Parts: sequence; structure tokens; C-alpha cells
Amino acid sequence: MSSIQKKILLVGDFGVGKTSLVERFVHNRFSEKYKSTIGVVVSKKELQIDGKELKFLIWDVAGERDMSDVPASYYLGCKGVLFVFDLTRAETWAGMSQRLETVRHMSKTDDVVVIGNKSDLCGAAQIEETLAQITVQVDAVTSARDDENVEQAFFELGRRLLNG
Amino acid sequence: MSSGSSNQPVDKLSQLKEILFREELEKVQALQEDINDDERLANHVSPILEKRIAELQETFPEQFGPVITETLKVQIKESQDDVVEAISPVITESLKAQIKESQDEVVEAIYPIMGKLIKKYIQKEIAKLSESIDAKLRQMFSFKGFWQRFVYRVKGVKQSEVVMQGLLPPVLEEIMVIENDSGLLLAHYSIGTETDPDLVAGMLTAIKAFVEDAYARSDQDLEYIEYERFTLYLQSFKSFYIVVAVSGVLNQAFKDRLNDAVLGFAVKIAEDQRYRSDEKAMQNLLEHHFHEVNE
Repeated sequence: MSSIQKKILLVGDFGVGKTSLVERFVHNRFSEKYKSTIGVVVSKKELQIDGKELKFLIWDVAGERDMSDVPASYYLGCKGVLFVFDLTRAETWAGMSQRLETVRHMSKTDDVVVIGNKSDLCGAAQIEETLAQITVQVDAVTSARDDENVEQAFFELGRRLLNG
Repeated sequence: MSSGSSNQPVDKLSQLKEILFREELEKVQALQEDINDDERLANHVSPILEKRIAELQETFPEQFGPVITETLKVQIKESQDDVVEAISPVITESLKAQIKESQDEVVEAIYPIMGKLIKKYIQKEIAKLSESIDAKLRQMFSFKGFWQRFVYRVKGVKQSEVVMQGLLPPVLEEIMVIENDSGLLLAHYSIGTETDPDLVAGMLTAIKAFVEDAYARSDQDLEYIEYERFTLYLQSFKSFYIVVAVSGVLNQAFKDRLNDAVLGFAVKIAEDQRYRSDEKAMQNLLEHHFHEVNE
């Protein structure tokens, strides 16, 4: 059975853990060392959702606060986006609804999964408090370090792409 | 003789002994106590033992060296594997520790050896290259060579290119058909590289997009990328682009074959949209068009 190929993008502020999420999802590993992504790094992961083979080509884009600073050509042909913010840094979720609007406009897709990462650095109460301040729907709270909900977040996007 | 008269001489003898040998008896008693008491015995014996050990240490290599060397030789000869197994971990650990503790000294020690090896390798490779050039030049100056040079001159081909092409013939290593926008791989043909074509296709698309964005000229495309011994040629079409990875030095005949294959393939795809939805058919078409390029 041949797989369905989809290009997806990971966007968000610098240092929110986009590369760590990809490393965890694709290679099941985590590094404490922070290396800023230059330009973009492409990874591949094949998964099976509801009996269908799906091949993700994941474009891990260098962190930008302003989503329109991501080169327009990176968005071309992209079918879904993971927007990542850091649960411990308020500036990474500030003005999120407008930033998501830019992402939807540039990628020409509504399949955007919003992820709050680094849950390992917050207590349950802090997470709840943070989510209460965010006006948009957060789809997953993850920890790349502790491998919490990472796969679920990617699968959520996969399901939307297959059913959309 | 009564018993009293018989005991009297014994007592006397004892008394006499005591008078004559008191000092000796006391010494014997003290010696007895020394022997029975470990600590006191050690005090007497230790200095003697230490002196003997020191003497033995001094003379050990001289006295036992030849015997041990001979024994080890026999042992190594008879059971080399066992000896290696026994001493390898110790030696490895010692070397590791030594390297860690004194890196500069280790570098200093191995530098001359490595330098010599590298020099020798380079000399060998230069000799091989020189031999190839000699052979090529001999061929060039033969009658056949003169005729070929005449033909190349008429065609406007440089002599240096001809020599290099003979030394490093062009080889088509890999072809990728990649969707323009998404960078998804549509078809792929390789003669045996180990790279993941999906990732290469994605990264090439990112590089292509970056270069074209950076110069903000939508009407111009990235045409080739050179990387070590490879040259990647990119040919853009409406909805996809073709990347051809070539090693060696391209000659005109090879370029012509390659261009024909690329254009022939692209025309087929444009003519028949079925290929866009049939991965297998596109793969077969790609192999059909390119398998003769290397011949």
C-alpha cells in the first residue's frame, strides 16, 4: 500500500522547542543542548492512522516571532502546521490569534494544531493558569523532554489531514 | 642409699648450674619469649627480610629476566589468543588513561608517524594520477590523438577538458523528480547512493526556495549546486523540477544524452497526466529514460 505524503510545517518563536519535538517524534531522543535552527531542517516520519499510511515531510522552520517573516516559499505546498509556544514564556503566546491568522493566510490551510510545550517545567496549576490566559484553542500540552503527548500532537494533525 | 641422700647431689647440681649459667639461662629464656611473641619476633626479623627483598629487587631483572622472557615467549607462542584476551583490557585502559592525562604528549608521539603515513598516501595517489596523465598524453600525441585533437578543435572543445574527462569520466549517480512547491519526491532513480531521497528532496527545495527568495527574482531558477565530487543540476518545469546528480567531468556527448533524457521525460509527463497520479508508472518512465545515460 503506497503512503499519502504530506508536507507539514513547525512554526513558533525561537527556543519554544520545535526541533526538540521533531527529534522526539522522529528519533525518540532529547538533548538538553540548545542549538538554534538555521533556515529550515527537513525530517521524515511514516505513521499509520486509522489503517492509512501517512508520510510526513516535516519542515522545522527557524524560530520567528512574526509569522510573516517565515519565507513565503517555505509555506508552499504545506498541508498542515504545528504552531508551538513555550508554556513558561508569556511572550511566546502573546498575540497568538493574530499570529495564527497570518499562518493560515500564508499556508492557505486551516489545519493548524496549537501546541504548548515544556510542560515538564510547570506544575499543573501553572499550566491551567497559562491556558486560561490564552484566547485560542490549545490542542496539546506537550513535553519533548518527558515524551508527553508529542506523538498525540502529530497524530492529531495527521487525522485532520486525512479526514479533511 | 636413702632417698634423702640421693636427692642432695641433684639439688647441688642445680644450684651449681644456676650459679654458673644464670646469665645464659636468662638469655635462653628471653630468646624463647621472643620466638613465642609475634610482635617481638617481627621486630627482629623484619629488618633482615627487608634487606633481603631490597637485594632481590635489585638483582631480580638480572637473575630472573631471561627466564621470564623465555617463559612469556613460549606462552605467547602456544596460546596467543589467551594472552591477548588477558592483557588487552589492561592495555586498553592504560592507553585510554594515558591519552586522557597527557594528550599533548600522545599527539607529539604519533604526529611524526601519522605525518609519514599521510605523506606516503598522497605520494602514492599523485604517482597514480601522474601515470594516468602520462598515458593520456601518449595517446594524445599518437596519430589517432592528433586526429581527435583536430576534431575537438573544430568543435571548440578545450584540450584540458578532454584530458580530465578521460581521467574522471562522468557518471549519473542519482535523479530525483520533485514537486515544485512542497518538495515532495515524485520519483527517484539511483545507482546506489545511501541518502534518503525524501530528505534530500525536501532540503534541496528549501535551499532552492531560499536562494530564489534571497535574490527576489521569480523568473530565475537555481541551476546547479557543486558539492565535493558531485554536481547537482536542477531543471525546473511548471509543477516539478528534476535534479540530476553527476560525478566526474561532463563531456558534450554526456550532456547531450542527459538533456535528451530530461526533456524526453518531462514531455511525457506533460503529455500524459496519468503519470502524476501513478507513482509506479512515473518511476518506470524515469528508469526507462535515464538508464542509457551512463552507457
